[in-house]
Amino acid sequence: MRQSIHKAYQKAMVPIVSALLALALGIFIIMLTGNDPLEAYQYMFGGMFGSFNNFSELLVSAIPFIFTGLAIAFAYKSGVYTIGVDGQLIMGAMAASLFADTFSTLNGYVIMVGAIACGMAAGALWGAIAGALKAYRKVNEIVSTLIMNYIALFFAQYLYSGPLEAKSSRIPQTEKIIEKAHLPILFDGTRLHSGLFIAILSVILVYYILYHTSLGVKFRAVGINGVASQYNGIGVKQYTTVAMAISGAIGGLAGTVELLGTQFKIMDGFCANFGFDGIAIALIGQLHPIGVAFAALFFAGLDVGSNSMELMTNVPSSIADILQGIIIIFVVSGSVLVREQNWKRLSKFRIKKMPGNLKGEKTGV
Amino acid sequence: MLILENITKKFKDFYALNKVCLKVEDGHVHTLLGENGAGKSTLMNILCGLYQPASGEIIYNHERRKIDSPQKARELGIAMVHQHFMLIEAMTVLENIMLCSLEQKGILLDKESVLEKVLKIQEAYDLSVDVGEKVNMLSVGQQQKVEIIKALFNEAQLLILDEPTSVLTDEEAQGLFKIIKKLKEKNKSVIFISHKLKEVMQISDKVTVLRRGETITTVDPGGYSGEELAGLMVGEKVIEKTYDKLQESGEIIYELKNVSFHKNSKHSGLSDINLQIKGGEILGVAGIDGNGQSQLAEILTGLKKPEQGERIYQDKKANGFSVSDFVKNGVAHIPEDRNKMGLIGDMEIKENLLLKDLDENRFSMARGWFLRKKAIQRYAVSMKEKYDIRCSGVKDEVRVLSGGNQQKIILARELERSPRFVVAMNPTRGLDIGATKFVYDCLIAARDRGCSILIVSADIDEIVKLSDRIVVMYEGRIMGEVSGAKPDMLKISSMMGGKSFATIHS
Amino acid sequence: MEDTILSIGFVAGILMMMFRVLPIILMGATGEMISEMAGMTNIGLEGIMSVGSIIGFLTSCYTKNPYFGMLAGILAGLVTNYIYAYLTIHLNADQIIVGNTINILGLAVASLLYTTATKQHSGMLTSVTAGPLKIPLLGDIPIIGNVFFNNSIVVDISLILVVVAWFYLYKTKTGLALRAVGEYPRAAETLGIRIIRKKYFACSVCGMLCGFAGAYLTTVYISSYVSGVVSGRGYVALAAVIFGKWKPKGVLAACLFFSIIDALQLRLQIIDKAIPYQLLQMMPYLCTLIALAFFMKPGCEPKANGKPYIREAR
Repeated sequence: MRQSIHKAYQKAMVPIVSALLALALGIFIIMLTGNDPLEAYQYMFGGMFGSFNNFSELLVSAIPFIFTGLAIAFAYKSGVYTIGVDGQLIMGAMAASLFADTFSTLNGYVIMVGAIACGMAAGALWGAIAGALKAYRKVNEIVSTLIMNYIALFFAQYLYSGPLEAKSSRIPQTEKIIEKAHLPILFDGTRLHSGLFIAILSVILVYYILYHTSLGVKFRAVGINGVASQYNGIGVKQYTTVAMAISGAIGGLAGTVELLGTQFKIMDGFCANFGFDGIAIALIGQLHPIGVAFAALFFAGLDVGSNSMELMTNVPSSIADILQGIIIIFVVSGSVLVREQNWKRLSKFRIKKMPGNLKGEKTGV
Repeated sequence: MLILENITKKFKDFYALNKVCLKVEDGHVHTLLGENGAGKSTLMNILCGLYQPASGEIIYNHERRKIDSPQKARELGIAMVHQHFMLIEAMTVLENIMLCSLEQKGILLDKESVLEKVLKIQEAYDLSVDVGEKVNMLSVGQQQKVEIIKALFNEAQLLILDEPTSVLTDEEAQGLFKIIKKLKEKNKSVIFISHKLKEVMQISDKVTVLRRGETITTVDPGGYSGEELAGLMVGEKVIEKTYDKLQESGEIIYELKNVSFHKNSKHSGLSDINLQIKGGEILGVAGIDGNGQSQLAEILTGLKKPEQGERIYQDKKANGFSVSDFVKNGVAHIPEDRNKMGLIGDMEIKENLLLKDLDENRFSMARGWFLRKKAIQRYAVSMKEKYDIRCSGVKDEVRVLSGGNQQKIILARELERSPRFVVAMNPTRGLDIGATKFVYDCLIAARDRGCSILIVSADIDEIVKLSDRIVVMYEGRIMGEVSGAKPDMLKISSMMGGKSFATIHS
Repeated sequence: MEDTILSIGFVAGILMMMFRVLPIILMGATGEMISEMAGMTNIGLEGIMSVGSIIGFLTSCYTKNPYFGMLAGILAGLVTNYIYAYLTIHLNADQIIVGNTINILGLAVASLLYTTATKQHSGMLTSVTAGPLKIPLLGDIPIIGNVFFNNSIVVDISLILVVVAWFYLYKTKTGLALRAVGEYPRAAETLGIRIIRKKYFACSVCGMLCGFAGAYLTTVYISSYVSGVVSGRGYVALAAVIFGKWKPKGVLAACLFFSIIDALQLRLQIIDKAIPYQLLQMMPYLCTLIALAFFMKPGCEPKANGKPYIREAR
């Protein structure tokens, strides 16, 4: 027990220290923009925790980040380096929207469940294509998912400015989700909706699957060492495809919950770059579902806080994005340094006398 | 002329080379002969600047030299043709050669002058290769020619060929010998590393035999027969079978009938393999690394499917079996590379122990959806004790363990499933004496339970100690069989070097 | 409608437009190609271009000289890409993750600088744009003259740069060495090639070209700055490298093709709403995906592309 606590502590240290360092660096950046950093931070944190309403907004913003972070973390754990969550998200949302429109006469809860199922299925399919391309045709998943993001984005744009365009609106967008199918609000007067529970449930489920089922052991085994997995009778190709499908389903869920819970319609800029943020969140959460949840809260906090900071001071809200970027840089370099226990790397390349292992095993003896 | 005097190289406590001496005359083909691990590669890596000797001297062209980098070796005119070519496959032959001339003056690539020089070399040494072709379109033999051209392009006086024929067809090998002859005529020296006795006899002027890091002797090959050379290489050691067989072998459990895989590739293929493995016996597969043993193991465990012939397991035709089919039917595999193929390094010991069994009712409910964590923990701890896995707890990640402990995890995983048939590839490679004995004991215990074991090893001692029957592989074929009791070592050595014997039944 | 689409004026307009779009994609793709040839996959083009575009824009605004803007954009791209280079080369950080970070950071920095600048400078900021450079005589040829010889000089520069890149990669010793680094760094090292230096060089080129492309956007292409001005063209450049199979000729062809599509969709947005322009915007990506899945032989991509080079072999 003690050992595992120590491990968790070690894992959490890098992101926490990185976040603190980034916030410290933020002071200088705010000063460079000619503002008072203390005041700015005061409003920023006020925007996060200042009132219940503020905090509820933080949670609202965190919900999609939790999903996208989870989607990335699950894929990375399974050895698939996807950056395709944006595409899966928009595909999922479009499918959900289509379902909700088509069956708008049904009971609200039926629409909700159906839309969520459709959204997940569409995301899963979109993800599985990239997974199958990787497994069976050796197409680099980074490239394919990147490309498929844009295909999905333009396809969705085409749909909501063409065949599926809302008739009443002048700006291209989908029909609004019928009100009875909105995810129920948890507290009156806030926008906090029950998607939060779906997010928490997903965190628990992904955590459970990854660490408490034999399926999870196999996914992780494939992710760490595909060759050894194959030697142990695990079908690497199938697992890769399924991992991408699951990651895609979570991505689709992100879009669907955001659609049914906060935005209700899809238009230009719907959840733009949430998938890319998901990569950062997964990384800061050290690819652990629970870590991801905390990282998502932190990212959402920076977004929400910086908005209120912008309202009250002259500091632009893009500071939040910059801080997020800096944190990732720190986490990435921090992880490398901790892993290799080699701080000298920061300044120079250490060169061992010779590349001693030109011929693999044979050289030694 | 190259003289090496008392070269010593230590890796930790182990002498890879101990006072090795070597004298290579100009215009001579000098062969280094020795088993795997005799120190040939280490010696050559010292010569081409990759390793530094702990002590000893290199005298080249009457001067003491310190070769501390590959560049230095190149300047001195020492060039090595590695077993794995240092060629850039997506580039043309000419581009690869031009990469060697980067240090010369000028910014632009001087195709014409390089081409001119290359054509001269090609003509002088009969090295016909289409220089405009991309390397990945060339056969292995042609790629080797490109490496030799590269060496000559750099004005090499001494060429080191590291097991050059191990990747060639017979015809290509004859071509290479012609080239070597040409090199001799032009007064270039060649150090030739090989363990194929026939070709050693054919082309060498001098043969130096290395054994366990020491120079045994240097001889003229003319005065010796192949058997005598083999004897020198192996030494006059007497290896006795250590583990006696307790019971008679049972029925045939696994059979390969005329199995072929990538038939034309002698070093990563199999041709017409016929093999029978009986219940409760240990079958040793001897041979020099890279003669199809890996492929044999992969065929037997389902990682590869035979292209021709039949794979019959437990009287069932099993040509289409996958790895997991074999796993379910009691085939265990101790793979040749623990870290790459056997274990998931970043996972816990207990997860690695149960990689194949988590779905079983003992360890989980609903086919793996609810793990019985307590049962798993108890099992892992009991395995830790039974197999004496030294660790701080079964939650340790396996990559932090020593090689011996890692191998014990694999043994525990594979043998505790009470397999019917085990494939063990080099099961003690890199292990210390204690761990090695432990592996042997485990395998023998499994055999005595009635399990059949196929053990592949480059270490002939290991094969002889354990096996009830021994077959020898060479270039993807089985050269013959000897009985495990008092095996004829000379015969095994000759077969390893490519001499075929009619199958002798025990 | 048929008439307008097929009329000479329309075709000439599209060609004109295409060559205005081309430098953005082409310079980005050329930089990325050189980067990947040295084994450095950089998906941060979009971010670098963003930084280049805002720095170029602001410099042009304040100095009233678009050429200073371009220069500043080039420098900004260089500096931005050094973050990527340092993290991936020195710390062996994952190239994709760092590239993604550069995208986030680049967009954020651009937005921060723009808001800060507009707050200090009351009123709309406009940069001074570099006008077309008409080549005498040739520029007077109908249609062709307008397209080729009456365009911004950057168009010509970008075309020349591809040729230079080709010459560098295939005709010079140092270019050959660079390719060796992307294919088989270990072999390259035994030949005495300095891997780290080559990789930094490739990153420098990539950064400068992307910075230039970004600056071109705000000093030639349009005169104002809007957030997200790069609008995915960094990714199109990335796709062009793959679609062009990592060869200068192929990359040039891919860029021409993608810019025609871009020009067409820009035109269609204005004149004919019946044809969905989004489907055209999708084309570069769709073509690349199909090519990847079905027509790409292995071995097109530099072998060591995207892999960190760890010198201390165990």
